[in-house]
Amino acid sequence: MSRGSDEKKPFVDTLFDCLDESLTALKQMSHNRTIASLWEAWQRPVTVVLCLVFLAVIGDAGWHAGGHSVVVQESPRYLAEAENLKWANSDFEESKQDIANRQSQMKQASAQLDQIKTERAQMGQLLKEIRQVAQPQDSPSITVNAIGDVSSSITYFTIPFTVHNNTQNVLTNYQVYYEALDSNGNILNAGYALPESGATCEPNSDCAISSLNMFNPAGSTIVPIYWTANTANNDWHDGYYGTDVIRKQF
Amino acid sequence: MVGLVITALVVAAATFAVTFAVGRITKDPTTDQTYLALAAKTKEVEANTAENRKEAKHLTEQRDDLREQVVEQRKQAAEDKKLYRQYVGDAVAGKTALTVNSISPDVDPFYTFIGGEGLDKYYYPKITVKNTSGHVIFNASVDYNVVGTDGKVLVSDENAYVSNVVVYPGKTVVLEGMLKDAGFSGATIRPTSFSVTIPNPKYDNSTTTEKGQFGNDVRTVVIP
Repeated sequence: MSRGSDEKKPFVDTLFDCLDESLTALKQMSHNRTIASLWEAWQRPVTVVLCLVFLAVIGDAGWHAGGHSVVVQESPRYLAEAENLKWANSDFEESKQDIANRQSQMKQASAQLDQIKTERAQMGQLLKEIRQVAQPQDSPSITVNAIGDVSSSITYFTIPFTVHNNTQNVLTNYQVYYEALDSNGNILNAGYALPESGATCEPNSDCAISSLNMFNPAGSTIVPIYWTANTANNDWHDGYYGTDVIRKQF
Repeated sequence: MVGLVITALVVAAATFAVTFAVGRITKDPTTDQTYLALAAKTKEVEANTAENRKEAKHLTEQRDDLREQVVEQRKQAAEDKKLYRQYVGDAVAGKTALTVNSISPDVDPFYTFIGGEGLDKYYYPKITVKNTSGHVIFNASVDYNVVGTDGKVLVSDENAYVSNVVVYPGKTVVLEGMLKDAGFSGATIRPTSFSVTIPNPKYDNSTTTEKGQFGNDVRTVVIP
């Protein structure tokens, strides 16, 4: 087998040829039984195998070296992921800011709420009292239907009132207490109106009462405040009128 | 032999170059530990962001609820203030529940009208007091002494009052009394104590009485 013929054959054929020759040489070696002849016979196949192993090692080293030569941090996938992380961090910071903003807004709203509640609490009892006296009474025994014109004598001023008996009883004693207010709501005088001696008021009817007072109501507003009503059986009732009560400016 | 060695080296170099190139091309960076750590960090951050957004949503609901309460409370506070301004005057609270604004030692007008002929002389003192109790007052009473020019108390514990009224805080009311004259001209009317009936803060629809003493700085008046 010449070198020239080896060069024309494919590598695999050459390899098998070598192995064939090696087997032939092995047979001869079994006849000759000498190390020299053994080496002569195995020299080429061993060389070929060693070459292949060497190439495999080189290839493996090259393949790994190629892999390791890639800088992962500069790869498009890594850079894309790094960009993702960048945006994720941005979103995270934004979400933290959102929470901080909400907490700040809640703190602000809570402070406002506390302040308003404190202010309301300071006025709370007083407003409760005002609402209580301002609200109309559900069913007063007598209601004021009208306040008449004032008349005067030497030192007294008479104010007539018309009241309505809302009960189903004859009232034997019934009075209306009133205030005379100035334009600022200050009480200039307080008086009361009552029926003439011995007068009674029939159920569901209008009755006259009057006030005799040394106070001149001119310029003031007369506002009924409180009433009392009693029957022959001493069924006594009283109550305050609400702010919706009829009033009269003199 | 040299040619063989050179050939072997060329083949080795070529093999290394080719496999190097193949190894480089086929390298998957997503399997690299560095990449995996980065991806894990991204996931962790995204998970934290999602948690934060969930928390922010929860806080937003709480904030909106608080803001609604603020709006409602403001609305009610505005109604409170409107009601307050409607009924309540200035200086609703003072040292004492009643503050004496003025005293008018009026003489009985009928006595004055007839010139006092055959009648006992009475004063009808009018004491104007301001409600500084901080409450609505239903009844008010002031006790006073009549003090002579020598400082001796001529009459003690006389009284002026008003009843069945509604005196809003900061507003004034006139209390009226009656005092039989005993040579009081030049003497001083000095309020000493007071009592007021106010709503009982502890129980609805009930009242309580508050009493107190006036200080030395109380307003007085000299009877003409």
